[in-house]
Amino acid sequence: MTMDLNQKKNDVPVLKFQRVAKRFPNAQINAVNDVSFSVNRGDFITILGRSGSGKTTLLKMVNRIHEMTAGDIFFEGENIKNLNLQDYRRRVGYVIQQIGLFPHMTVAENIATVPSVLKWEKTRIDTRVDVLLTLVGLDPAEYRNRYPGKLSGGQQQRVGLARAMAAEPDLMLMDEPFGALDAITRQTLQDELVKIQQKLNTTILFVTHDIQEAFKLGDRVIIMDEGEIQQYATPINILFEPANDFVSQLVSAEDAVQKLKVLRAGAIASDLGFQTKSGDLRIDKDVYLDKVLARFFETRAEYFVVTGKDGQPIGQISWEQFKNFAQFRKDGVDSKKEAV
Amino acid sequence: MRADIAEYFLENQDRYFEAILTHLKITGIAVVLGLLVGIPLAVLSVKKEKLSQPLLHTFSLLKMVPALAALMLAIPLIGTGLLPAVIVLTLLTVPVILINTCLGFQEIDSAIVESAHAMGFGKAYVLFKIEFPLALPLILTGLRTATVEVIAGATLAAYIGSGGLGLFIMTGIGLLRWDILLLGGGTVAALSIIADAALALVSRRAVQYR
Ligand SMILES: Nc1ncnc2c1ncn2[C@@H]1O[C@H](COP(=O)(O)OP(=O)(O)OP(=O)(O)O)[C@@H](O)[C@H]1O
Ligand SMILES: [Mg+2]
Repeated sequence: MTMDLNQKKNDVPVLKFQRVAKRFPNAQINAVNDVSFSVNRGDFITILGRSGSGKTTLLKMVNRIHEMTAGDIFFEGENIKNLNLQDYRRRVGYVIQQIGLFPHMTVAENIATVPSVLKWEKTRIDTRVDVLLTLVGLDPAEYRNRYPGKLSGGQQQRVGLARAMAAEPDLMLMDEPFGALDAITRQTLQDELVKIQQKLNTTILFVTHDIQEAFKLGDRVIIMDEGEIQQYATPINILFEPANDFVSQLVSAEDAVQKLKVLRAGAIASDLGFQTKSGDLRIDKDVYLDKVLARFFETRAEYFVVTGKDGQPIGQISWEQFKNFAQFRKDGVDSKKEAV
Repeated sequence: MRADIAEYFLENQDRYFEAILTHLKITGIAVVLGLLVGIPLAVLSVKKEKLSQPLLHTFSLLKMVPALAALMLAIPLIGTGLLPAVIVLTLLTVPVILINTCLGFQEIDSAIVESAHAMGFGKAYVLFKIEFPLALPLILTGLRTATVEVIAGATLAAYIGSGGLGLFIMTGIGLLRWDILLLGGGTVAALSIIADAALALVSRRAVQYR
């Protein structure tokens, strides 16, 4: 019985949009128009688009802060209209740029809000608060009893992240969570979020208007414009096979070096095709290509064995291949520029 | 001169303390009723936009009626004594409590309320656990102003037969005895200052987290 349920949970997308639209009262056009897509368990999906393209509206329809005006959204196979709103929302974490911590509650109380309402035991809540604070890089002993007003913006957003994850949500909605932070803090938090996501296999829907952030974080990227999805694909697919003029213009603005910074080793690795030896240099599939380039120069290696989650070899990148890839990319960009 | 006050005070100790008690009683009842009327009205006007303008306008107008005039107007309508005084003073506290509570709610960062709803909290939870605590500093400001106003206003209530420290002032004026007048007035002033300071302290406590 339990196994069946787990099986079902794994097969059914965590989230599915079916021809969803939203028109605000008195608006002339739909803010989100005829959007369909689905998100599988463990996916890190970023949503990229200009200001006013409907990203926030799309996200807020998921936890029903905005009600859609057409179509259906399914959460783990269930139409969200049929779910008890409050129970459902407690399974969906929500992190926003304005953070929205409760200023009259301590950091620990903020994080504990949903577990408390879910009637977790006190010891379990306390442990959970400490685990989460450690996870987001804050020392529990130092920060547990502080008030949000006495934290920096970056620290507040760490707490916001911890609070959203408190009750182990099945899905996290994040609306430009790092938008108000300085570049360095933003980068640190991005890297930590990726680590957390991989560790916990959380499903994330992450809105941003920063192309680098979208490509760096997303396993797949949804590109929105004028309320519609322009493309939903992996970063590498979007870079090399833009679905339409809008997308190709968007990505052609990114230069070659920038692209190396947002693509990871796993994305360009080819089949292994040989037995690995003990002397082979290894590189994790999640290392960004600019780092791969640096390691080619450092080590003068002919190739790297690309390893997966548990350190198992999953493929290889040879220098020849890497050079060609960079070349190909350059040509790609140049020819596109001529075409424009 | 000083001896006059002391002598009068000693002779009329019982009346004096009774007057203070009555004064505090009128003030306390009026302020508590003011909170009970003002806060729900404020929440209503914040939650139902249609009600907000009419309510705020009505009470802003009410605020401009001088306390004495309101008390005099009350006599033909509700007679004299403690009850009419309390009713009139309550009506005088409502505007300042209402307006401050409204402000307190309006100043809450909407992202905080949105987060609370997104975390699956019901309306009542959000109202009592999030919005009220966050509006509290301004509610307390309203309470403080209202209390000081009512302590002063309750003096006038003596004119419609409700007792309190106003009696001493009336007697002082009537008998042209400035010592009695001073005793009554001085005590009213002292009560105002003490109440103001005490509530200021409470207000500061309420925002310790900032
Ligand atoms: N509450 C609302 N009432 C009416 N119109 C709205 C509301 N919220 C958003 N809109 C409109 O819907 C459209 C999409 O807005 P949305 O906030 O989803 O954009 P966005 O992609 O999140 O932009 P940004 O990057 O600036 O946050 C805009 O035209 C906006 O004016
Ligand atoms: Mg937005």
